[in-house]
Formats: sequence, C-alpha cells, structure tokens
Amino acid sequence: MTDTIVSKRSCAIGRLRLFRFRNYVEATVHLGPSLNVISGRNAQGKTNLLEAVATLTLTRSPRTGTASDLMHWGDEQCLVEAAVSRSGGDSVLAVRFTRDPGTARVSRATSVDGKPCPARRLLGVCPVVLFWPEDLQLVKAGPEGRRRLLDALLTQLDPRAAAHLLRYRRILQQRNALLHRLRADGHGADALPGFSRELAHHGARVAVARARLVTQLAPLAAEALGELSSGGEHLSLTYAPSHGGSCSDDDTTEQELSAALRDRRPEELARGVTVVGPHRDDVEIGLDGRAARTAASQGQQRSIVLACKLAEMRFVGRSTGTAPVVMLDDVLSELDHERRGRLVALLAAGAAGQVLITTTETLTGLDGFAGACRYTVQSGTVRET
Amino acid sequence: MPLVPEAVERLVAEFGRLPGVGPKTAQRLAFYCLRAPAEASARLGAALESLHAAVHPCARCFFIADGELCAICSDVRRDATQICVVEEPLDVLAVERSGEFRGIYHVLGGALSPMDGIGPDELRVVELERRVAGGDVREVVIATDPDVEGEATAFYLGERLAALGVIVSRLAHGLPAGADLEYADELTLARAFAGRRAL
Ligand SMILES: Nc1ncnc2c1ncn2[C@@H]1O[C@H](COP(=O)(O)OP(=O)(O)O)[C@@H](O)[C@H]1O
Ligand SMILES: [Mg+2]
Ligand SMILES: [Zn+2]
Repeated sequence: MTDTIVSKRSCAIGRLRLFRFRNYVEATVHLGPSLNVISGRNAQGKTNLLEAVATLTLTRSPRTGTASDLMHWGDEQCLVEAAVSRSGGDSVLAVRFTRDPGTARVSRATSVDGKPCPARRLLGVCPVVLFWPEDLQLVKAGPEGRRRLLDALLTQLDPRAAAHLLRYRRILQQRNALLHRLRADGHGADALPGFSRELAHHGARVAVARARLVTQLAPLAAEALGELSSGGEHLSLTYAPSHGGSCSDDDTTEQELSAALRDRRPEELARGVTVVGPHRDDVEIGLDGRAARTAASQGQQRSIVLACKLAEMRFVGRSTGTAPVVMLDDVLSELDHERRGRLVALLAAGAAGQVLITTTETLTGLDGFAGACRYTVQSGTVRET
Repeated sequence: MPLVPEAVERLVAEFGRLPGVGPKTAQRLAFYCLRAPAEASARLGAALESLHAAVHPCARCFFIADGELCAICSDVRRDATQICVVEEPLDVLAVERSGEFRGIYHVLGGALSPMDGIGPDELRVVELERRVAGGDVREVVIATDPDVEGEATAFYLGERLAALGVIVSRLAHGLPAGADLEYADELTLARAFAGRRAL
C-alpha cells in the first residue's frame, strides 16, 4: 500500500478559535493547509493548542477525563471552534463545555455550521492522529499506551465499538466500586452477577473490535517499518486478551469472558478490583518472532513506535478516504536526525494531510513540506512568524 | 449595593436550582414573574406550597398519589396480574404515554449503582417481592432504563423474582443505549413493550 492511493482527499483546519480554553482567554489562529510549526518556551500553551484541536475533532479531550480542567481557571465555560475545509465542502465545527454552578456538572454542546447536533456528527469529519511524547514509550512501557492507540482509532472510526467502549468504562467503574465494597464489608454480593454479565457483554465486543483492528494494522505497521529502517526485520502485532480467548466473534468471546470472570472471582474478591477484561488486555509487539520490549534495541524500538504511528495514520486515511490531520507534540526533537528525516519525508509524502508540530527548539529538516507556516506561542497568545 | 433588589435575587437563585435552568433562564423567569399580575405569582406560590402537603408516594406502587393509593392502583379496570417495574415516578408517565400497558406499576426509586452506594437495600425490592409473593401477579415487566445501572438492576430482579414462580420479562430494546426511559418516544416504547422478552 502506498500513500498515493491511500489518501486522495484531505481535510484541513483553517481558522481556529479558542475561547476560555486552558490558558487561552481568547485566541484566533489561521492555520496553513500543510505544515504548521508552533514554537515557544515551556508552559506557554503549545500542547493546549493541540489539545483544543483534538477536543473539537474527537469531542472530548484525549488528555483529561475531567472536562472542567479545560476551562480557563475561574471561568464556567470554554469553546473551541474551527473552520474545516474538505474536498466535500467547508464547515464550521464547535464544541462548548459549560459548568452548572449549582451542581458543578459539566455539559457539552456540539454544533456544525452553527446548528446544534449530536457529538457523533463531529466524529470523523476531520480525522486526526495524535503523537504525544509518551507515545515514544509505546513498545517499552506498560499496556495502557498500546490500548490507548487502539481505542483512539475505534472512537473515530467504529461508532458501534466506541459505544461499547464508553459503556464498558462505566460498567468497570461500577463493578470495581462493588468489588471494593465487597472486600470491605462483604455487602452486596448478589448485585455482582448483573454487573458481571454487562461487563462480559460489552467487554467482549470491545475486545473483538480491537483484535480485528490489530489484524488490520499489523501489515501496515510491518510495511512502515520496512520504509523506516533498512534492517529487514519482521514486525508483528498480536492482540493479547487478558481472558485468553481468540476474540474471533462476539458471542464466543462473551462466554469466554464470563467464564474467566467466574474462575477468577476469588482473586477479584481478595483484591477488590476487576482482574480480567479489555482494560487488562495488551498488544504483543514482536520483532522477528521475539518480544520487542526485551529483544529489540533502543533504536529498533524507536523505529517500531514510528512504524505503529504511521500505520495508524494510513489506517485512518484508508478507512475515511481522507488523509488525517496529524499532530506531533514535542516529538520530533526526541528523534535522532535520521529517523526525524524519514518520518518527516513520509508525512510530507502523504501519510498525513495537514500537520501540526509543536517544539521548544528550532527544528531543521522540514523542507519536504511546501509552504510551512510558523507560529510562536507565548502565555496563551499565538503570533504568526 | 446589588443591582437588583434582594427579593428578585432570591427568586433567581431558586429558579437557578431547577434542573435544566441556567442563570440566564433563571433571570428571565424571575423578570417574567415580576411583570405578570401578582395573582399569577400567588398561584405559583400556592401550587408549590401545597405540593408536599398534598402529594406522597402511593402505598402500593410508590408512584405519586394524593390519597392512599395512586390513580392507577385505584383504577379497577387496570390488570393487577401485571406489574411494570420502573426506576422513577416520571417513568410511569412515559410508559403510560405509550398506551401499551394496562397493568399496574412498581417504582423502585432508582437503580443499582455501587459508585453511589446504592445497593438492593436502598431500592424498593423487598416491597416488590412482597407484592409478587402475596397476590395474583402473573407477569412482571422490568422497564428499568437501558443504561448500565438499569440493565444490572433488571438482571438482579430477574434472579430474585425467578424463585417466586412469575413470568419475568424485560423490555426489548429498540431503546437507544444510554437513554432514559423518560426521554424515549412513544413509538419506541410501544415497540419495546410488544417485543419484551423473558428474563
Ligand atoms: N484550565 C487552565 N486555565 C488556565 N491555565 C491553564 C489551565 N490548564 C493549564 N494551564 C496552564 O497552561 C500552561 C501549560 O500549557 P501547555 O500547553 O501544556 O505548555 P507547553 O507550551 O509547554 O506545551 C501552564 O502554565 C498551565 O498552568
Ligand atoms: Mg507541551
Ligand atoms: Zn399506585
């Protein structure tokens, strides 16, 4: 698969307006259609700017589960609005969070072209791929990062799986609260089967969707690794469910997960938490048949991470028919000269549509892009430079 | 000095506490009352004041009533062999709007939610069991919300009632996941009743 057939269409954010978002009181930025480099010293608002774009396009912040964190301190609301141009026409997307002063509950309102509409209407209008510094630990660190990569894709591309995922998170909170209480005073054991059943039902569907996604990503990642390094190693990705099954179909997986919950009940009661389910699943990353986290060198691990992120971009591009907006938060400066050069070349060649890069230092080697726009961020104000 | 007299301030604050009313709407409502004839405010005040004195839970089903029994429980045309179990009193109105159900109700007072410390003892489960065990109830239709808590509650009730030898069914969900019963439209709810399944 080459990028020229992956992404013919593109989408790009033009005018971006933040109102009371994080450390931005009010800011309007006009982004360019290809590369945008956002520089500034630490703690000025570079990451917040990318977060704003992600919060709008994903309808929730990828960084915090507490929406009130997004509001400028002391304010009761915040807004992100962007004009998105696509081959199919332009539209203005907006998301607003408002805190009810009485109940402190935060509500979210989304709109397209000024007309209120359900949040799911915004999802996928402008596909995005995020690359945070912690993603560089994708191979080495714990499984959360690997699960996050899968869930970010499901949320954007598979509404059904996204609904199961949301529901799963809620069930997990409830079931853990119940197990916690059971451990403390043995109270409420008869309510557990109902929550276990719900957990198995939705958990199975999450696991099956993720496993399917991994089989689709694996060849893209293997191919990308070939483009990034000349070693000729073979990269493999395998979904590894905590309950041990094959995750090939919903109903079988549900039965397997139910059985695993039954088997491990004593352990759950002793520890007061849910010990099996998609929240404990992992993606095994193998290099030439060996576990990459132990067998691959530092440099190889870096290349694998980039290969996985490229696979993610290409998968989004292929599924939506639109090259995604790719955001790299302070990532390039972490890469050595050669890897940086190859990544940038592949982004410029079409893996990405519009690119937003933040950096604290002057970046070189970005010449592959035509018409780069540069900005400087300083305590919540953005200046084009 | 505050911009508006304290009496207006107080009313705005009270309106602002109501669900779905933001600060702007609260102001608009308060200024509306100010402009409208004084009798309108008096009627509103009287209606609010008599609310708690006149209304209490039905002794049988826990829907709202002004006598011992609610209007549904005292209606002899209702089929007392069928009980529809809902979370909140408002859900009774939603089911009634669907026009599909001719039996009587049982209002649980919520759904299982361990996070909020709500277990079976916090709901009117024992009362439901007593009604089912004590009478000529043939079928219990569980119409808790189709969200996580409602589903877990339905399963729990299904298990507890199974021992009592009644048919227990669950509303079939044409209902959107995560939706409140209260917000389900009549058609969806009617379909859900027609397609209820044994639990
Ligand atoms: N809700 C908020 N209101 C106001 N300021 C905030 C809020 N959340 C974070 N900040 C401030 O934003 C700054 C961090 O911005 P960030 O985008 O992470 O910096 P960087 O430019 O290093 O990426 C910090 O100074 C932090 O105090
Ligand atoms: Mg930052
Ligand atoms: Zn009654």
